Amino acid sequence: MTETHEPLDLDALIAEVEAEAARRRSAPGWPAEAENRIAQHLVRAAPVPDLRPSLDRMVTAIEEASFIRIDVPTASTRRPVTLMKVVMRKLLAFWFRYVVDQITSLGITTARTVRAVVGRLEEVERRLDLVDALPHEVADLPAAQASQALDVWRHELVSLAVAASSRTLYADHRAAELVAELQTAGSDAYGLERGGDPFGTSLELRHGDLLVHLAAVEEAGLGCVLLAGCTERLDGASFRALVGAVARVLRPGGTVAVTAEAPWSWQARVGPAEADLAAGRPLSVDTWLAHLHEVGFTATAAYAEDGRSYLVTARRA
Amino acid sequence: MTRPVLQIVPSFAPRDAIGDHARQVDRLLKDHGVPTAIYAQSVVPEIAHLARPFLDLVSGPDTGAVLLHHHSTGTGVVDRLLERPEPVLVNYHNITPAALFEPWEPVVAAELAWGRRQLTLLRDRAHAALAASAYNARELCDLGWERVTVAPIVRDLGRRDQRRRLPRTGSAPELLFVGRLSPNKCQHDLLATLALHRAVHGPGAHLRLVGGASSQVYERALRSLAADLGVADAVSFEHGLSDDDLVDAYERASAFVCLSRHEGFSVPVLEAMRHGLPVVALAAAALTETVGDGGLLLPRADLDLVVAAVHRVSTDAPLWSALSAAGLRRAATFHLEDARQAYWSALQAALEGC
Repeated sequence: MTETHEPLDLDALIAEVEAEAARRRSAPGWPAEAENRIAQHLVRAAPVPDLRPSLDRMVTAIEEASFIRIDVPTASTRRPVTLMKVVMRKLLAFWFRYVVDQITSLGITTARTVRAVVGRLEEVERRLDLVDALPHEVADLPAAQASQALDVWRHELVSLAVAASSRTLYADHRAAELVAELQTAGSDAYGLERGGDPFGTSLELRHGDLLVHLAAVEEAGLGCVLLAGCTERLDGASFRALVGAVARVLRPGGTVAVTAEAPWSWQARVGPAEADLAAGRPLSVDTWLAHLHEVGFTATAAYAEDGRSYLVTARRA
Repeated sequence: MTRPVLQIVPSFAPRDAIGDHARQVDRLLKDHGVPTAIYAQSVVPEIAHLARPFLDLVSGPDTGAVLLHHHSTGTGVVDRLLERPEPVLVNYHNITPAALFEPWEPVVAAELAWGRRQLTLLRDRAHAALAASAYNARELCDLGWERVTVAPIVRDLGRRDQRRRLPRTGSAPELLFVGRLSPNKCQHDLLATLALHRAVHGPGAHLRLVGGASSQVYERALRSLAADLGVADAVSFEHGLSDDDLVDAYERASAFVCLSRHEGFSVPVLEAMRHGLPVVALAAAALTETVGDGGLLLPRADLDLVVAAVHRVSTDAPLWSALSAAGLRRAATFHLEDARQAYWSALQAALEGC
């Protein structure tokens, strides 16, 4: 009988299975293309998390549920039973209608109430300026400055993406161009750009806010995150949220790289008045290094020859 | 214990883990001479005779009983319970994190979030809690509950054919998962596993997904994903199986594969082990303790790892038999009589001071 088997060493068995998985993956016949295709289909099948459509769907669901058919099915394999059901339906129709009218009224009232609540919520969001706060923080970096920094560090970014063990996210300056370059170099990369229609997504280039996007990425779902031209106007809270989100989505051993304009360059460019009053600003290299270290990264940094931009590179333990 | 215990089951249905558990607890209480009844807010007509309307209870005077509420989602029942004078015990079956449902079924997600908020209200009102697993107990303790006892699900796993099971190994494995089509159960990962398995080991593998849909949106997405992955012909979506057909499914399969991200216990895993079917499961939530040493627990849901595990189990006959035996040993620890005794002891402990 199978019941007499000795207990298994399950830890050893798991170790064997892991070794087998690794061996197969590195063998010549591994269907990497099929695996990629499966991953892309999984991404496509996943819904885009968003509160607005959810609330609309809730109200729609209430309205749909309020519509109740009173035409009770009367079909039966035995004709007398069918006739009896038809008669009963006619006799009880007045009662059904009475009940249904009340339920429908309840449904409509509920839907109206929820719509009113949704309206109030939108008003609260508008007043708190929550909806648009994050994109605005990074919206006003001149393209020339971002491009200059990107061009200086472009080669390093491509190298990091190619060396990554799994999917790479690039955000967000000239994302379409960079993602194409990264993919040509052999990286499994996709991009994220601010603005545009968040629902008009393609697998290669998404649109939307960086923090919102990272919140929707699975834990340890990425091998590399490259940020260029999208961190220059972060305030303290957004910066800390970004570092936390990057730490969450990167696999152990994964890499994050940030290129940005140096603070002194920015101050010289915008002038003291704007610099003093800015809600967000380019962060110093030390700030990145300290916070990345705090969440378990080993980080290094380098300045461009002219000192106007820097590259911070950090590897997750 | 002679004080009546009235069970509150917000939604009472047959072939449902909580509904079946409540019926077993009802039998247990009656066997110990405790006056009892099941009250439900909504009842499937097939078993309507087993329950009384919840409104009858809340519209009446103090019953002098203890109210044993089964909590697994947000429900208006809790609001009414909070107003009752009777002592309340909570049997906590866990609540799926709302975030797992939010993108698919926002209405359900709102109910789940509501259910978790109600745990705090119940904490301040309930005398004690019974948790269906240590995992569930930890959740309650983290929320500040003080009197929490682990009390197992009471379930009759049925008689098993005592004949020796021959390993169902080979190049065309039949993978089985039983459970509602639900985002937290991650059937999409099972479809992806099947697709990669077929890409790596040839087109022999099949997948049976047994269970109704908790989310129509998710079900549509699964069917569409199966077509996109080119495995629509190798997957069967089935629900409403009779008890015999379900046993047959466990007996015929090569492996029970569960990549669920959240379970408060998982009765189907237990049933699979009870039928000697090797279990391959992700070590997540309460699955770790339900499977225990009775199956293969994967540390990650990486597809290559899952495929390697499934392939190994479904082609290595000695291993298949050893895992089958391990599952049977594990399932034996949930034997009905043992579970009844454990639940009775936990209930008595929870009722102390009531």
